[in-house]
Amino acid sequence: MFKRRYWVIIVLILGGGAAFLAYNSGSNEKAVDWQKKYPQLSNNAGYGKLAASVPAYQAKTASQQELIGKVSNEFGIRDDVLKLILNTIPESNVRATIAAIKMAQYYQQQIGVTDDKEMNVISNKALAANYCLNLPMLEQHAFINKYADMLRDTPARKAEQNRIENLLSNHVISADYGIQSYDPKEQCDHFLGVNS
Amino acid sequence: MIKKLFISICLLFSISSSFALQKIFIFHINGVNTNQQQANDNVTALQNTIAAQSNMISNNGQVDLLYNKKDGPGFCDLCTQLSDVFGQKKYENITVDDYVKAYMAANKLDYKPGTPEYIALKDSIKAKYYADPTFMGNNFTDILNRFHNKVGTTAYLTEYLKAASSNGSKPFVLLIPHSQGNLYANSLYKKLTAEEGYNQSNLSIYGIASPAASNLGDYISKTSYNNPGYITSSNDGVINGLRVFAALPPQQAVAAANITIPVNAGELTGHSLIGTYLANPAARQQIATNTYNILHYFWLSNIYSNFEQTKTGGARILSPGITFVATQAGASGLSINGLMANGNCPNLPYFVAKDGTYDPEIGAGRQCVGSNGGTYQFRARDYDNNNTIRIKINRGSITQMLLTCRRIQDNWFGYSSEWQTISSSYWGSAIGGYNSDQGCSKVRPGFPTAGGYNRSDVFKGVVGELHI
Repeated sequence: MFKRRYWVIIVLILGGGAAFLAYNSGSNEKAVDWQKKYPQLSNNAGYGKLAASVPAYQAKTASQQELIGKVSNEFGIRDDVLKLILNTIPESNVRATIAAIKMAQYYQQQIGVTDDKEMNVISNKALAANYCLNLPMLEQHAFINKYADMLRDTPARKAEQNRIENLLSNHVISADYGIQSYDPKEQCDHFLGVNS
Repeated sequence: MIKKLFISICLLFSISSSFALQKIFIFHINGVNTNQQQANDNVTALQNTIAAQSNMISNNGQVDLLYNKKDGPGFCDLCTQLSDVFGQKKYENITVDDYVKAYMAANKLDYKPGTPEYIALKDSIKAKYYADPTFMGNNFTDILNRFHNKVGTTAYLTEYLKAASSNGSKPFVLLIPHSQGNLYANSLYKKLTAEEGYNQSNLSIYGIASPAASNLGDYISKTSYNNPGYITSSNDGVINGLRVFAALPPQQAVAAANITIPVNAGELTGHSLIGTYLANPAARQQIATNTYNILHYFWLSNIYSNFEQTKTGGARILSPGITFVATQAGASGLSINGLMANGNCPNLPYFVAKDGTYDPEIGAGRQCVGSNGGTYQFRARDYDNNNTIRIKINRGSITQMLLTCRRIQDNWFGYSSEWQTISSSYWGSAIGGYNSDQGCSKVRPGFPTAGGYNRSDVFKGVVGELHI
């Protein structure tokens, strides 16, 4: 008969195995079909451009990717950020969903950028995306606060955000829609790549 | 009862190097402990607040952000910024002259103010004063640089504005700071008015949740709109906390609260820009109205100064055609959409002149045509031989006006009629702002056209409502 300590070892081994499987199971979330999970994204004109509108997550260095966190969705943004977006914004509000994803893409794009002018350009676009988000003010406020907290939820991430904000010194942050129009809807249509 | 008049002017301008409408900049300066994402969201919320009141945003461009960054060691950004606030408060009323006197005392100098020696010394060290974070705050130089980066550049200038700027004309700037941003806004005001040619009529501050003893940029609000130029809640816990410290010399006082916003469960400090001030309907309305008033003042100054230029003959409004549309609202006198239904025109106090001389007779002789409201149109006789028309609108006579500018379709030029006619429905859309920005001058390469009307950047700032 096994002694008690062997049972303990076996339990530990089995527990470790289970944990390993669970971890792999987590990795298999890469296979999660975001389109099926959130069909509203794939049914909009802006969807196709969304994945290609900013440099891909894959273009980041390994350390930057590690800093960003787990990404398994086609938009190249943190999975937990995408979940926040999709859990916060009503499924019917596809336009805001696209704006939020785009905003997250731009803020994520800032990670690792060392040129202040490039950083400013990205920040301008992030502001434009924030404007095009156009949720009810307090809902947007709560969403942005949660999102900003997520961007700083580890010491390393917080340090990176501080670095980004310092690099923005001397620059005005000004919405850049890539189009000179005085009609906000027209600006956002163009910026988001939607036609609604 | 104050009579409200709504006037729309459609001006079809050709390029003139001397006609200059200055750009209007709107900047937000955030308070302490605000990250980039939150500051951007503040900008969006402010923009939507102002836009809900008028079309000033869509016609003037966006609210920009002079980001007051979280400047401090990572472990306690807030500590550093709060320390910064106390420093700014302590030295809030220290002027450059005080600085010079302190310098002289430290260096055993005794120049009398106004003497060449004193002026030379002041000139030599005032840059130190403006760069000294003890007086101006840690982020002042950064915020000033941001301002210069945007406003100091000539990139935004059209050829019209370059001409004006070369003559020392400044753009209009509205600062909408929150919390510590008010202290920076005051510092900016000191610097820009003392050193860079701005004045109380082209640089204005509307403060929110202000810890400052006063708003240095309140001239327009106070003199034209009987408003203190800031809004601070009596339930603002952060500002009230500062009052405790402010009571201890040498800290400076904090301006009195002028609204009471109930503290809500979601924002217990009563201090947040969005969670408190913009979330409260009354406060939000005050912010919208008071910033709108300042922007209108800028508009008026912009237009009026140009009309004044015509009086001196220094500038001409060149145009192959010009239409002046005036409308008076209905019984309430408040609706900007209210074209007069009876076809009667308001008694407009305007004059049209030729050859640099104003002639009231010509203005008084304008007809009001059409059945849908007061549409004033100029006739060929109003133009001089250079196709120049001059207009003067008397300040104080008109309480509100809507001014717009659009390019008439080219094929309209083929009209044999002496009149250039614009339908009231056309103007209806113009008043709404959506189509009111059609340009009147250069066609921007590659710029989309809408409804056959070419847009222009030249008159980006011309469309909007004006209080006179």
